[in-house]
Amino acid sequence: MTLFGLAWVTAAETPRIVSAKEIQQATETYGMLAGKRLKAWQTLVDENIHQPEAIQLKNVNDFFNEVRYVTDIDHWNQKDYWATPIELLATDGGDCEDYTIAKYFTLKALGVSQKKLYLTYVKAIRLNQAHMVLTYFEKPRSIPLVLDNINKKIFPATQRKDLVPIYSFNGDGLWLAKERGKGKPVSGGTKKLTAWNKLLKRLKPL
Amino acid sequence: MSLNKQMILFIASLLIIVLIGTFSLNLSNTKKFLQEQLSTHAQDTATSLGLSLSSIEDPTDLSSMETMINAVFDRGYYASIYLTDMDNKPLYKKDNTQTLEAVPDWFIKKISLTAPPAEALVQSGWIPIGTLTVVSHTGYAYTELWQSMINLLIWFLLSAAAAIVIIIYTLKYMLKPLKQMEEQAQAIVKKEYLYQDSLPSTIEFRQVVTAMNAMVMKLKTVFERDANIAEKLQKMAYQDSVTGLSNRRHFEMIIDGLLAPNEEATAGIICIIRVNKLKDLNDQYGYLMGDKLIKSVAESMKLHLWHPNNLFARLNGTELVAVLPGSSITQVQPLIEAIRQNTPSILKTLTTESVPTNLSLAYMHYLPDQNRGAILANLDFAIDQASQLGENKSFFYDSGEASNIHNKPWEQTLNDAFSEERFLLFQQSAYNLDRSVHDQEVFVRLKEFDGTIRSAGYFMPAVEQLNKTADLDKLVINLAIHHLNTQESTSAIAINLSKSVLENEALKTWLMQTLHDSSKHLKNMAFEMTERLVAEEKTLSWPLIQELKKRKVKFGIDHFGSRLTNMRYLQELRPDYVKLDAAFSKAIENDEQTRSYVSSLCELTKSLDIQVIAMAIENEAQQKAFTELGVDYFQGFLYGAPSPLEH
Repeated sequence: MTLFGLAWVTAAETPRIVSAKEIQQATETYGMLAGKRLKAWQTLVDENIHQPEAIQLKNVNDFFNEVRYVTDIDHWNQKDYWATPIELLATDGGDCEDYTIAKYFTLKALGVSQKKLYLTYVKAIRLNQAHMVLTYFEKPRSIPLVLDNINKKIFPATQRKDLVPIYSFNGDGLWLAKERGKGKPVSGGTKKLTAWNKLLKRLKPL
Repeated sequence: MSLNKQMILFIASLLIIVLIGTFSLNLSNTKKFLQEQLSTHAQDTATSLGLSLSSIEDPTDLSSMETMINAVFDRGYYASIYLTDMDNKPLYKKDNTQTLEAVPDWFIKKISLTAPPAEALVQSGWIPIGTLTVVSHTGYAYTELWQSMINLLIWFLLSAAAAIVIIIYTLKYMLKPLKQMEEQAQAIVKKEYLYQDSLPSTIEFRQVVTAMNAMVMKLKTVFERDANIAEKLQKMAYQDSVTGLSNRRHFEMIIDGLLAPNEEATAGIICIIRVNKLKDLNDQYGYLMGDKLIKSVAESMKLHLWHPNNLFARLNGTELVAVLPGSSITQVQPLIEAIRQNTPSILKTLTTESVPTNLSLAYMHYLPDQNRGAILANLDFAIDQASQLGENKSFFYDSGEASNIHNKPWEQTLNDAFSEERFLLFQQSAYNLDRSVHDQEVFVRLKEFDGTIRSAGYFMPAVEQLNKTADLDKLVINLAIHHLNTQESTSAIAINLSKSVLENEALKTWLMQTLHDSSKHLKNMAFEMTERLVAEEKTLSWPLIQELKKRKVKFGIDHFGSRLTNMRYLQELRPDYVKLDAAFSKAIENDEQTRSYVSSLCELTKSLDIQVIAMAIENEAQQKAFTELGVDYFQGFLYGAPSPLEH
């Protein structure tokens, strides 16, 4: 407890990406290692908050690429399940969307402008499958960097001939569009939630 | 407000609240759904159009992009589609500001539908080159909402109307027994015995109706018993058991009434028949034979001298008497002769070979101011004279009292009186013990040339003979209405209706029209008929009485109790009051049987809420005797002689 209290005090300036309670719950449900992974995530944020964006990108990319790759159907028993970063880390497993999302929210928490980050649907040519990566634009028209979990190193998009970009969306743009229309994030009246909206809903306390 | 109306109102309000609630809920759901549609539709279009635009290989090929945007935009479902570059500078813009005419402005103002803008990226390869913003057109949503509101409204109005109609009819049907129960209850209050044959199917109603029916039956039994008692007492007191004629007591009562110096007292003929040697017949053949003979003689007398106003009585074992008010000697003589000549055939009906009996007949005048004793003495003398003449002889005893009625030039006198308006109305009031007036009974009188005032008894026989009763009735009613028109009156004017009104259709029509024209006086008018007309001329009198009652005019029965008649008709007729025959007043102090009879009449009428008025009250003792028996109202000289109505 004392340790936690200390951590709390020193981390006063950095955003809490995961609460003590969530860590405790994950420990109870998924075991000690799950709790440790979540603590490590908070440590990642704490340590990188004042780092330049290039370092942040690399550390975040590396951190999440450590997670095991598991398909949704194996992992969640659902065809297409978008897991929250906590779920990803606690279970130590996820597929391409889960990596992308976790990286997106972590970078956002580290202060990277959301305008620079896009979730991009791509086609992985060699694997011949639909895939998702996080793209980072230093400037609006610059060549983006690709944060991928297949090729775990960050490369400029032009060097990723194995990926064909299909379409991108800016998470916060969607989020804002929703908010403008409703006055509230996701209303109960929405009959069919998109995967993104479902995710946002589960992320709400974040 | 009636229960029926309250229930209809209550259920209808509930129904309308439910319908309005459902209506607004339905409308708000539709609105929510359409709002959602506007948003998802825009998002879908933005995404798919964004994808399409991203597929253009040359990111500077704006014309291809515009063409694609136009192709989507021109479908008409969008308010605007913008394409901006990454620095938010507009590249292309399409707007549709057109409004839909099918929807009224107030509706659009009232229900604000907002179409949220939906955004999607347009990219070239890895690089985003712009943002696409799509806003759906709200017009279609408004049209949809407006249409569905109209449809809902029509549907709800129709179903509300249908439901209310069903409610009204169902309630009416369900509450019908209540209406009938109400009628029955009101009938009981009015002492009418309404029995409901068909019981309602609702259990609670059926129990109440059963109970009320039981009550009605009980009340009816009570009345029947009272009527039976009255009838028994009447027979015991006033009827001769052998002949069915009045007995001596009744005769004395009636003749006293006829002789009393009241309004209608007229002179007339009195006739006596004696059966001679009745004792011999009785001794020879037994009393049954004697009774049979007396009965036959009584029937013969009644047959020949029949007139509704006449009184027939058995004076004693051998003597029968007939009083014929208003008759003249010339009318009666041939009738007496007929009875006399009929005697042998009466005796023959006895079918005995030798009959020791024979008849004697005598007749004479009587005048209203004579007393009973004198008349009876004269009758005794006359019948002795007749029997001295021999068997089956008649004798006219001229006591010198010959009435002057029949030798006056009446036609001229009456015609003059009519044309010179010399008939006037007198009144005598009936009071209760507190001296408040029940009604003012009016009498018509004639003022002769020399100023002498004559009462009806003086000229009525002539009026009847000359068929002028209708004219006189009209005159009386007109005078009474004239009085009501000019005088502020609080008590009712009671007018006697004669038989002529019943027999004269034109007069009846005139009367109804007159009542209709002076409807404001109806509450101050009462009409009276004699018991004889009411009880014995039912087919004539009752329709008129019902007409009068329908107009809320009071109705009373005059000379009540004088006829030997069944009183059960009261139950059905419901007069407002009865005026006891004046004859009772003479006998009330001394005759126990008259007292019991009057008492039973009072009970009978009281049970039907009919007021009883005792007539010809001349002293305190009479009033006290009647009061003890339950009479509430009194009329007579004790309260004052008849006086002119005008003053």
